Amino acid sequence: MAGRIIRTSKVEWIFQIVNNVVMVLLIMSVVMPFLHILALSLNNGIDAIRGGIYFVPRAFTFSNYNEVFTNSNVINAYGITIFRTVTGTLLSLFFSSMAAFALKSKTLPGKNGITMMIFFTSLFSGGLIPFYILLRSLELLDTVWVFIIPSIYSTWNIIIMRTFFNNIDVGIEESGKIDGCNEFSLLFRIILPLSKPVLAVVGLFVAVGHWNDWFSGAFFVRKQNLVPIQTLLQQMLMSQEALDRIIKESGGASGYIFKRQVTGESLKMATIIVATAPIVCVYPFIQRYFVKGFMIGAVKG
Amino acid sequence: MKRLPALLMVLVLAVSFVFSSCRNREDKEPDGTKSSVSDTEEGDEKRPDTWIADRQLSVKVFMMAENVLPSDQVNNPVAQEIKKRTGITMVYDTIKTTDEDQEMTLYLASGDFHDLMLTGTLHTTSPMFPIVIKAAREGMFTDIVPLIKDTAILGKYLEKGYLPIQARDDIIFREEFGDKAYILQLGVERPGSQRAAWIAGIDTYVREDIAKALDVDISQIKTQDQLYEFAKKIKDGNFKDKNGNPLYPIGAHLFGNSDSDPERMSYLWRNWDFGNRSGFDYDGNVVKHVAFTDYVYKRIGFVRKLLAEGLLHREAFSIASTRTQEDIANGSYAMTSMHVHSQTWDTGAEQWAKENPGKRYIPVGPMLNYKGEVARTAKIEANDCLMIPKTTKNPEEVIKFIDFMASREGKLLWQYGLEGKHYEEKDSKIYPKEWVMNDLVEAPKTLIDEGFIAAGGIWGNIGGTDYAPVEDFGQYWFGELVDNTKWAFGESLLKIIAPEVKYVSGYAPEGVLQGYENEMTLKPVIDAFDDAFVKAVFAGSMDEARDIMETYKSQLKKAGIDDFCELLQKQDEKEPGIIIFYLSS
Amino acid sequence: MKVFDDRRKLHREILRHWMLYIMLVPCVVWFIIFAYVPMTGLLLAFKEFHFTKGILESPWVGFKYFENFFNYFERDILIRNTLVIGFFKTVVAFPFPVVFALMLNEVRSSGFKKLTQTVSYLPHFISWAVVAALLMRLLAPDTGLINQVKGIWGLDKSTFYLMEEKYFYSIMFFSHLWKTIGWDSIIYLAAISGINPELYEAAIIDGAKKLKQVWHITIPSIKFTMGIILIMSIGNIIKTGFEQVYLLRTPGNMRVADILDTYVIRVGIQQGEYGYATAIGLLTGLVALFMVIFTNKVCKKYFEVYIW
Repeated sequence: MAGRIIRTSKVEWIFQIVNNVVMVLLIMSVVMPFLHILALSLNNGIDAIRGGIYFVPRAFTFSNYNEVFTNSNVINAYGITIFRTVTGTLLSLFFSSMAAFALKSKTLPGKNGITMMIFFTSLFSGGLIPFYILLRSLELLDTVWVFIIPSIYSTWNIIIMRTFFNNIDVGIEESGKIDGCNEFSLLFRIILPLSKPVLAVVGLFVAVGHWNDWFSGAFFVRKQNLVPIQTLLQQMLMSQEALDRIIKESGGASGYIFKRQVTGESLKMATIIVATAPIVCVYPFIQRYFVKGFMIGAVKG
Repeated sequence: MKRLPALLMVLVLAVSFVFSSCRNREDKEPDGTKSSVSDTEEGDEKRPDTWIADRQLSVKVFMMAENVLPSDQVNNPVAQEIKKRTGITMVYDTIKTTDEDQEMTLYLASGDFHDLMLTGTLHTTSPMFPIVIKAAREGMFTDIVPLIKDTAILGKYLEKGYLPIQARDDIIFREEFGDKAYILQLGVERPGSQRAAWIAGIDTYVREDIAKALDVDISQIKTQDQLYEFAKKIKDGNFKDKNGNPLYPIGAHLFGNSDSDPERMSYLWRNWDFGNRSGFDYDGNVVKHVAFTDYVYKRIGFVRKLLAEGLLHREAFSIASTRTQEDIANGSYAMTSMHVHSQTWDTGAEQWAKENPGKRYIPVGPMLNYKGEVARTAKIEANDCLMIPKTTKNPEEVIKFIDFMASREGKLLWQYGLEGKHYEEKDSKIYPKEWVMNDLVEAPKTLIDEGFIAAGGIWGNIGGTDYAPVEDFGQYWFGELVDNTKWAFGESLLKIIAPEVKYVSGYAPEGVLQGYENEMTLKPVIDAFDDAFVKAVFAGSMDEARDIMETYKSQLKKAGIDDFCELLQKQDEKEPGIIIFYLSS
Repeated sequence: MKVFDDRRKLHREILRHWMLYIMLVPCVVWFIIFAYVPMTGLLLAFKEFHFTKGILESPWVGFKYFENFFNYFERDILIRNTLVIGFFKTVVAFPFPVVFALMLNEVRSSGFKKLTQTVSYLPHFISWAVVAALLMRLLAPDTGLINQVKGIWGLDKSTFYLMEEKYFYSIMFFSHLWKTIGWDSIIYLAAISGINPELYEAAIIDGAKKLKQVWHITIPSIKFTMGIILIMSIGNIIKTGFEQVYLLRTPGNMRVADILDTYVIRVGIQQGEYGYATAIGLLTGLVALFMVIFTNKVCKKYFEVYIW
């Protein structure tokens, strides 16, 4: 990396300082609530009712996490989630990149019509009933594919990919054509290797979408062994909250008297951590594709 | 654009494929989890009198209750006993979200049905109610009248005076269905049976030490003025909470009010609780909405005064329950409001009471209601509902089974378990074993897995009707005969605040609104009352508050409130007492 | 116009690109099945849904639901609030992730840069329910952090931020920003990473200052990405999403916070009226479509950025 030695002017110094201060403030505004959540998640739920817990747990316990991990389905649920996230992301990237590549072509007849047709769907939805009936008649309900097939494409992903493909130097494409590439090999041999940042972004979005989706697990599968982790967490959370609600509505006098260490509130904090941690761990691997100048190696190397 | 027609063709084809194929499926044989038609087994083995049929009964439950089902619904001890006596295996299939109405809609639209559908408590105001009624109107359920006619327990539903009026008129025997009935509501109490000590009810409480320090006879606080004077004395007394911060003389409700439950707020204006819980009542001899009475301005004025003088927690109308419980656990509210049992359950009030025995919260008053009385009213209602889809084979077996589960024999099984193993019986009184009482606190799931309901399960509750627990089992709550400590304190409070409870049967004005021709326009406006009220409370001046209320009243008028009040009055005059206008909080 | 020539050319183009069509086939089929077929549900805006009859055979009710909505007395307020909130969340908030990505790009220490980036997108994973609960604590009168700080400075600390209309939009806007800025900036970071470094090197040789580099190289390079995202999100002005607003609503700010989405939840779905909710969804969809088409036209004409 030559040419790095730049004389920094006064203005730039001030800018650097201001910039760093802003970043530090931003980090604090995020880290503090997260520490608060972490502290609450590591505190006895009943004790936490008393309040006063900010960044350090008072009655330290793993009971909130135990509540999550002693559930007999949790391993299986993680398996389902990992399967759908990996498979779903790969399939999405594969199919979306083909669609985006085709739609990028300036000369393809009917391209605008298809783009519009794709875009149109992002503004209207027929609601849950017809969608459910559709999944049922395709016999997707109660299979693991109900998590994957209905979310292979999304308008947003296709159009974002198309935009990035458009930015790729036309010259590279032309030289590929001269080398006798057909359109398939052009996409897979030349365009995609040059598009790692966008693949990383879209892949991240799709993966996080899969990871966070609890809805389809709740409505579209009945078998408990097909339930993904987020649905399971949601279920646990709701049943704790249902208990809280019984206590609220009838003053608790409906007759059930068991000891709890966990409340809906404390479990909620633990589920945030459980659901966020894996994605946070994955991010650094994706992040390296966003480093400035990443592309140069790809082109020159 | 040339391909548009082709595209449309594909679309039409696809649509017709999807929706035609879904009709074909109805003929398909349902899979293993669905109803299996009863075998008429020969076998000369002796069958008990209670034998019904050898079949599986699938129950779709519209409650999120996966984790309170027995891990094994077929082979747990109670299930095996039920199978031995009736031949039936009961399998519950619950939903995975708390969005019951959405689940119900999808279920009904999809067309794959279980033998039996079970909902949680259903009132005319439940979001699920219009969906269930709609399905009943479309003829999706089996008429239960001919089926229950000759049964021992459910047959009583046809007797006069057995059902609570709301269950009879609004749910089960609705006028529109003529002599047919499609919904079997459970949770009916046997007439004349002994009731639980009255449990609902929200009252004003004060910290015992503060009442003592001020030397005020709190049982003599009956009016709003007296409450106000008391709050002022507290403020002047400069009391501090656990952390040394000044107290709120009147705090928020124990559970706050972020979910905008207007009922929780009435402790602030007990003297003016006209139309409590319904909004409507007789003012003189005309039915009015509370907005059109003077009470509304009395309430607004009083709350504004409390706020202006710093006597009331400023967030009382919007604070979340996590924060209020925290405040109460720190003793930050001199006065607050809660249920009688709140200090003995997992709440901030329990924490406070445990740590500060001499400072726990004791009831203020009881204060007088708008009629100048202390009388408490409670409504007799039913709760869960059962429906048998048209597709169910041999529905008479299903009804017979429900009837068995509702008998004393059946109830013993799903409520108390097996004799000798889980309980002992002496003089028709049931004494759960010590290990059961112990597990109830320490390991509730093991009890649920045994197959009975004590630890908060639901499995078996299709027999939950014709309740008379004191007469049947010698106690109202499970295990009360063995250990009553959990209820004792609450019951001692009840003697002070509700010496007398009047039970009423009938339906709320909302029941009349449901299905009223103008419902879509009127309901949102009626519902907006609490918002308008709070807006008025926080308005800059009393004049502004009046403006807000008057604007709201004109909206009510525009939406047709007068016609609705007239209708209420007409119905009430036709059958006096059947509409319950006032219910104490 | 030489029609014949055109048609011949067209056929030739189609044949030349047959591979691209093959790539598009799964996409088109998928969108027909999973997006267009369920759209038959939109018919419910004109029908009274019957479980037994299904969507296609349920009886028609004409424009009943639309009339109901247009007769609703608070219709104008709902629409106004929706547009204002939508405008804040889509248009006003739009440049912030871009600026954030640019600023992040200028951070020199690569470790600090990575840390900031990772941290900044975490709020995406906290639900609005939790954010709202934290906000309410922060903004509480007397006891909330903001008021406490004001108290230290000797100012009035009794402001009830969530009960006053005038604070609602700023609360809503800044909490939205906090929750989305990091996540939304990822796409721009990716776009920036795709810029050819030689461009910067050339600029440095020319003696261009940092700001000039940003203005003349970075921004033009990510112009397309910015434009496309703006066009795609413009429809959200009317489809604001309900969770955040629903949770931050109090009777005090209701008059500025009640939006179409919260109304639909309250009235439409809770009362079992699928038709009503569908009708409002259809209306907002049409408005959104119009907005997007318009924005697309404008962007195409002036910035050469377009979706179709």
